[in-house]
Amino acid sequence: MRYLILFAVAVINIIFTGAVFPNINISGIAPDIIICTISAIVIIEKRMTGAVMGLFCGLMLDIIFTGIIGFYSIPYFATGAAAFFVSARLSYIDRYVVPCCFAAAALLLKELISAILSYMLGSHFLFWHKLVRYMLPEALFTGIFMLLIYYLFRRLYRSVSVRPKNLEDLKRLL
Amino acid sequence: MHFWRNRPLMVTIIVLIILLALLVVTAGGSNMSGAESVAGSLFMPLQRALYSATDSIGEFFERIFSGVDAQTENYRLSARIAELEGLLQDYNEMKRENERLKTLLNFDTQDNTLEYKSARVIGKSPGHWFNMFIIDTGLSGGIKVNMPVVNTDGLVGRVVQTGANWSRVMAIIDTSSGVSGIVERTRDNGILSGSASLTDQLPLLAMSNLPLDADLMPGDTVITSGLAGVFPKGIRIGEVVEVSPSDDGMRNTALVRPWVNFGHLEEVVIITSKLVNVKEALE
Repeated sequence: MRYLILFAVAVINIIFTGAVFPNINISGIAPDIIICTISAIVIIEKRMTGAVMGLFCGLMLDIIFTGIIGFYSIPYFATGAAAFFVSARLSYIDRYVVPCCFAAAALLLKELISAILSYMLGSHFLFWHKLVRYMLPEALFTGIFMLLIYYLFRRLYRSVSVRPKNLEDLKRLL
Repeated sequence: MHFWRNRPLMVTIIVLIILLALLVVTAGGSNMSGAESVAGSLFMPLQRALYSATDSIGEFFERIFSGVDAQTENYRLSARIAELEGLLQDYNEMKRENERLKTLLNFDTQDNTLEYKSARVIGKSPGHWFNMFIIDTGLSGGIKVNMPVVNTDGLVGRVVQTGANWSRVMAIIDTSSGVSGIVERTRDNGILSGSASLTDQLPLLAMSNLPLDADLMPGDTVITSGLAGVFPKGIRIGEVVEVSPSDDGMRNTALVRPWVNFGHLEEVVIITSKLVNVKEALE
């Protein structure tokens, strides 16, 4: 049941990323729902589940939108893994500030990796233009959007069927 | 030794190495694998429904925030209808004249007319690193790689990959895209590719390789030149907004604003003309 729910969450993420946010955005700036999901899962579970979620969503985006396997999956997976290593050392997690900052930082890391891959693939761009025009506003937007996603995930993880086994300090977070 | 015992870290490194290898292998390929085609087909119906629904929502909010009231919009549309009626009259006139000339020259109409196939946009590549979108027609609809994609405003892009019933289209504003264009008034040739202006909210195209003595002015219309063999000649691309010398000072570069609104693409037309296919075969 847990895997089925996580699969459904991944599908919703992919649909929102590819079909909803390209139309509903502010001057081309939209929150990254996948980063929010990865961050929320990692903060709650403190496991690699977030990285696996990122890998799956990234692979689907690669297959559907670019045909270049790795362009989306590498940044999402690497960000999920980095989030896991950082969250393992986090001693204090509140319900608002830490998740927001966590998601914003994760978005910046993901965009940085995307920029490197894009450059490797021969794309020409001005990094500081991308940083000011897209990355920083998206990080802000994603951080704010994380409030909603984190709230939804806390509600979701109250259901026993979603929780992983042997997770001791989960009640404290929920 | 602690490093090797860190299982999550090891898994992360191995997965990243595999993904990087896949990135190198799959970059630059234009044929869609069976798995890609199936995955796209599975997501297509839901994407199509959501894309259409959210496009309307997006337009609704855009209208609210743009500050254009209904009255002004009504006047603008009325004027536009009058203008289009005039153009339609001209078109009918030209069509009749064209038919007369063709009969005189004994041309085969089928071979000289471009063939089209309409499609709906059902998805757009996330983020700002690529400017690609997905359309709901593919190999089953006769779509092939490199076919030009247009809409009522002008040139949109070209098909870069095709699946069974969906295709990927690279927009002309993508930095990897290249279109051979010509300035309608001065007949100067140049290459247009995606660019990023620091002051403009809308995507722009950079038209390079223009001669230094090119007499370009802001407002000049740029159309396809038909030189590269992918796009037929005469499709509207955009209008010149700025002209400046290139970095080496040997050429001119122009910034061109595309006619197509890439923020709200809903329906497009693919030119499936035989002329394009013949050129593909020759290549």
